[in-house]
Amino acid sequence: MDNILNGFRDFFQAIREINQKYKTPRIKTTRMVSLSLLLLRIYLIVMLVLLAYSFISTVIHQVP
Amino acid sequence: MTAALGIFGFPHWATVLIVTILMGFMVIQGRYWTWEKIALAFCIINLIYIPAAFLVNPNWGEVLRIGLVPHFPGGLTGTMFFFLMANVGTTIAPWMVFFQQSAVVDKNLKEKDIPWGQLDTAIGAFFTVLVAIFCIVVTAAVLYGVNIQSAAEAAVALMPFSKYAGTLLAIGLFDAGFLGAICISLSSSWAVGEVFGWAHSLNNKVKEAPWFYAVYFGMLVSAGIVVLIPGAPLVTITLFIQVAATTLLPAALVFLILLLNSEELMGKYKNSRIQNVINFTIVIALILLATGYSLTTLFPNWLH
Repeated sequence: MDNILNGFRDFFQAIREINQKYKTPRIKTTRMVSLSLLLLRIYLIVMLVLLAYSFISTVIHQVP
Repeated sequence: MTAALGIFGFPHWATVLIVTILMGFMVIQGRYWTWEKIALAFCIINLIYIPAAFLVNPNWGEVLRIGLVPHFPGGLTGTMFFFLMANVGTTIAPWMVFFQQSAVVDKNLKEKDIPWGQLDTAIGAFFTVLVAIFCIVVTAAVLYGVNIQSAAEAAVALMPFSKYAGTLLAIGLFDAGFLGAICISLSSSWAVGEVFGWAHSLNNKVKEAPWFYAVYFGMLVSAGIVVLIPGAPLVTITLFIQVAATTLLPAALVFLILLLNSEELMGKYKNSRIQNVINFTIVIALILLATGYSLTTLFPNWLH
C-alpha cells in the first residue's frame, strides 16, 4: 500500500516540477498574445466540456 | 481493424492480440529507421482506395461537380458541423504536430536536411489528401444515405457492387487503423517521455527507455480493451475523438506559430508574413468550425 501511495506521490511531484519548469515562457510574448492565449485556454475548456456532454448524451441514447 | 478483419472471419480478440504483438515487434528492435520503413510499407497499402474508387464506377462528372462546389445537404446543422470536424480531425490532428517533431529528432535530421524534410512533408500531405479523396469517392458512391453502424458494414455494403472493391476497402480499413494505432501510440509515448524527461527514442533499447515503451504498450493494451468491450459504440467513439482532435488543434497550432515566429529560436527560418497569414487562417477556420458545432449543439435551431 505504501509503495502505491509513494508512487502516486512521486508522480504528482514530477508534475509539480514540470509545471515549475515551464512556469515562465521560453519565448517572448506581448501582453496581447498572453491575453489571447488565456482566452483560447478558456474557450477550449468550454468546448471540451460541451463535447463531453454531447458524447455522454449520444452514448446514453445508443447503448440499450 | 477488428471490424475489417471480422469480414474475413477473424475473431476480434485474435486481431487485437496479433496486432499488439506485431506493433510490439515494430518498436522493440531499437531502430527508428526500421520502424519508419515498415510504417511506409503500410502507407503504400493505403493507396488501395484508388483502384477501389474505379471499381465502384462512380459518375466522375458528378464527383467533380459535388467535390468542387461546396454544398451542405440538410443545411448547416449540428450534425453537419460534427461530420465536418470529424473529417478535419482525421486529416490533421494535434498528435501529428508532436509526432512530426519527435520523428525529426529520432531521425537525427540536421539543418542541411530541412529541404528534404519539407519535401517529405509535402509528399506526405499530397498523398494524404489524394487517398482521402478516393476514400470519400468510394464510400459516397455506394453508401450515401445508408446508416452505417460499424466500419465493416461499409465494406460489406460494397460487396454487392464489386467484391474486389469491398475487399480492398476492408484491407484499407485495417491498414488505416493499423497506421493510426502505431502513430498515435508512438506520438503519445514520445510526448509523455519528453514532458517527464525520460529517455524517449525508438533508437533506445527497452532497457534504456523502459517508461517510453511502457507508455507505448499501455496505449496499445488500453485501446485493445476498449475495442473488445461488448456493444461499445466504436463508430461514435471514433467520431468524437476526431472532433476532440479538431477542437484541440488550435491550441497546438497557436503555440507552434509562436515558436515559428521566435527569431531567437528559428533564426533565418522564422515565419514569413505570408506563412503567418496562411497559418492563422487555418487556426481561425478551425475555431469557427468548432464554434459552429458548439452553437448548434447548445441551440439546435439557431441557423433556422
